[in-house]
Amino acid sequence: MNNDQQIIAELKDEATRQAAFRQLVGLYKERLYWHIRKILLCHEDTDDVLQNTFIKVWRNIDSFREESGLFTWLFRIATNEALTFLNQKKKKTFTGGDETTAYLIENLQTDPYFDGNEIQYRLQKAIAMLPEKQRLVFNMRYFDEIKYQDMEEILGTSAGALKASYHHAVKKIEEHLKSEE
Amino acid sequence: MKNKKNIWEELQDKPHKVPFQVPEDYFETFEDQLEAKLRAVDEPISPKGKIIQMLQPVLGMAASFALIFLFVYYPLSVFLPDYLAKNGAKPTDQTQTLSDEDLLYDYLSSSEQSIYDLLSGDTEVPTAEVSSDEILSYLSAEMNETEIFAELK
Repeated sequence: MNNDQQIIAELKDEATRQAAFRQLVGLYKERLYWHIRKILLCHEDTDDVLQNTFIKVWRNIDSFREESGLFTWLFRIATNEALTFLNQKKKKTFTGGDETTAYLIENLQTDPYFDGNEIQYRLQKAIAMLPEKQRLVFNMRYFDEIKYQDMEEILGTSAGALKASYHHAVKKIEEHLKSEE
Repeated sequence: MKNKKNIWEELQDKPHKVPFQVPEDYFETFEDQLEAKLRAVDEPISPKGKIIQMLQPVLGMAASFALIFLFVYYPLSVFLPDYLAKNGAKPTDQTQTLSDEDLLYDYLSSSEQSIYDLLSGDTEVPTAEVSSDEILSYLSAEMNETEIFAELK
């Protein structure tokens, strides 16, 4: 029995649930944090969404069917939470134009925890200008090197479509960076 | 001659690191913060809280109407009283805008008196002649025999 399977078994048992949940949070908090952070580009929003993700996990442990791995289940919940948050923010904050890009670039410009150089800033800006799916796929592949097979389960899209999305995203980013040189 | 690398190529030479940081001790304290939030979320709502929660939409609607009145109707009634009067609505502050003629018209239309009564100065309420039989039938309906006898005495 691997670590994930043991955690799942303990999560389903009322007596060990609390301790197992703490173990799960300890194991996945950082990976999920960085996944959400790359979607939202803001620490405070990421913190909110990460907490909501784990609350959802805690409440839905019994409905976890184990058809997918624990990792893909958690990433799927985190991605959905982050995208829902982004859409809500978009509705509240902006009225027209490319709202998501404007929100993300504003987050990038005002982020006190940005720790990169000029080139990294430009790359983040170029990523922010991508369509939602391409942005997700690019971040998951470029920074986290998540396999297309796992991405398939997380995003519910075929591996072929994901590869095409990544390819288009790279092309757009290259073009954007060239235009700024 | 060696070509100058573009930005994308430069990025490929370095590890693909995310250029962000987190506040100090964020990950160390995350579990405690999460547990506090879980406790707060799972805490049962008090009956008072439930009532407030139920009334929230109604209160919100009432507040919206009050705001609409404040920001739309009130300025209209101040700046466009004639327009509102034509459309059947009365201005909120009538004393500021009504002339003497308007006041007289209002008085007459709300009073039961005729113009003649007003001009003649006869402002007493008219009384009708009542016969003694009518008084007796009224009293018998309202009082018993002993009371009627006491009254007549």
